[in-house]
Amino acid sequence: MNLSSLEKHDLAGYIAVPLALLAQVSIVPVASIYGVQPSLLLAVFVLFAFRNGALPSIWMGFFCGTVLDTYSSGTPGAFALAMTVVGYSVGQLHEKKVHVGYSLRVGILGIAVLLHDGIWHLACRHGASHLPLFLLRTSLPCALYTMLLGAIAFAIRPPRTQARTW
Amino acid sequence: MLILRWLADQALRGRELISLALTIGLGLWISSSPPQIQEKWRTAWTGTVLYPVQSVIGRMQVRWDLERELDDLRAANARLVAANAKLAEVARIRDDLREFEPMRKHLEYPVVGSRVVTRDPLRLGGIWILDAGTESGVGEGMAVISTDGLVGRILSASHGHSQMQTIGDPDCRVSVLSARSRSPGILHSIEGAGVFVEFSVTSDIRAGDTLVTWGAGGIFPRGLPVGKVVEVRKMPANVLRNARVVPFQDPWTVRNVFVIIRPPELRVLPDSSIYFQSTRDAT
Repeated sequence: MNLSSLEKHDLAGYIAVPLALLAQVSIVPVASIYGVQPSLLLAVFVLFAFRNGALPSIWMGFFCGTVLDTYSSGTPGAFALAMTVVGYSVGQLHEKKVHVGYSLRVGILGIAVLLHDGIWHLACRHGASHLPLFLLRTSLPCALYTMLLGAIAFAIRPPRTQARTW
Repeated sequence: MLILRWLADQALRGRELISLALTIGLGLWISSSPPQIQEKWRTAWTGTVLYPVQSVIGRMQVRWDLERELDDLRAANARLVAANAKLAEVARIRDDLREFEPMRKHLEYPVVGSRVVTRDPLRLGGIWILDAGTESGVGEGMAVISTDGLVGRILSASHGHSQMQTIGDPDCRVSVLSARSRSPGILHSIEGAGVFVEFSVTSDIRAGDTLVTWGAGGIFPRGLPVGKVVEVRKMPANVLRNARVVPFQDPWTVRNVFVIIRPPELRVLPDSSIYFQSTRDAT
């Protein structure tokens, strides 16, 4: 069976997210600054969603989220829920349908981190009243750090589409 | 049937939404379940999906570790084999020296130990290179022996090494005597066929006799053990006889030898001098 270069590319994407999940729980804690860790998993996952669209992202997010739920001590299903919603949302900006430029991608990554953390916070029943403080104190530094990481990752894998000149 | 087909079409069209609804529903159901169900779900997920995956990865890790360890062990084994070969060589030299020591006091002249550096691996005779040269006192025409018997003679010597002609070389001739009857003969070799002694019909040489060097010519000191006569054959002319000899020192197995340092004034070198002069002239 011969795989075309595009298929190989897609296959690499499907492998990259679980690898990022492994790196997230093994290597990334070393890169924490003042307790703030970047989310390599989300950076790679958002890139995956841009490239593959909503449907694969939903299932990939659900799978990775379930694995995280199994290993974490929090409420099971919280990560799965958060990752699924992020995958679906970012997947709507599939690069076959919409052109999203580099800087906008980095911005969407930051929003995706906040969305993920918000859903996770609510699913874990930590209380809606604590949500703004949680987002501000915990999620925002993490989102900024992740955006920095994503800026590098997105520069390595630029969009396949070009901006439309009207 | 139509309704089913319609449902299938709708499902294919809206599979994103169906997937989203399914996964969100699962996520919400799990997260809102009582702790006992959550624990059961976690155990089931770990046992059915994650544990087998971890097991496979663990086995692969073990396999990789074993392969790496095997490579390390192979490398270590190769090093040990090389070290062992070196030590075995040293032990062999020590054994040869120990075996030779009692013999040394019976020799009239001092000896120099040497190793055979190169030799013809296919032919019995030929020229061998020894790792002792003029700096050790080795010179042309000196006899070379081993712990078992005569090996050959030095053809030429230079600094660091010397050339030796074995008794299995077709150009080598050695005057020998039967230790029993003191009858003389000429030891020679036929290429590829072994070592022989040629003697007169009047000489009393029989199968089973031990041959030693005669000492005539000055190259080989008298009385060095050479070999044993195994078979006597009559020549057609019935003037000379020929006998096959098994050398005491098997030329195939010799590794360490001793050169008898004989003073130059006691050595007579007509043959080899003429031989070398003729080869020099030819070149």
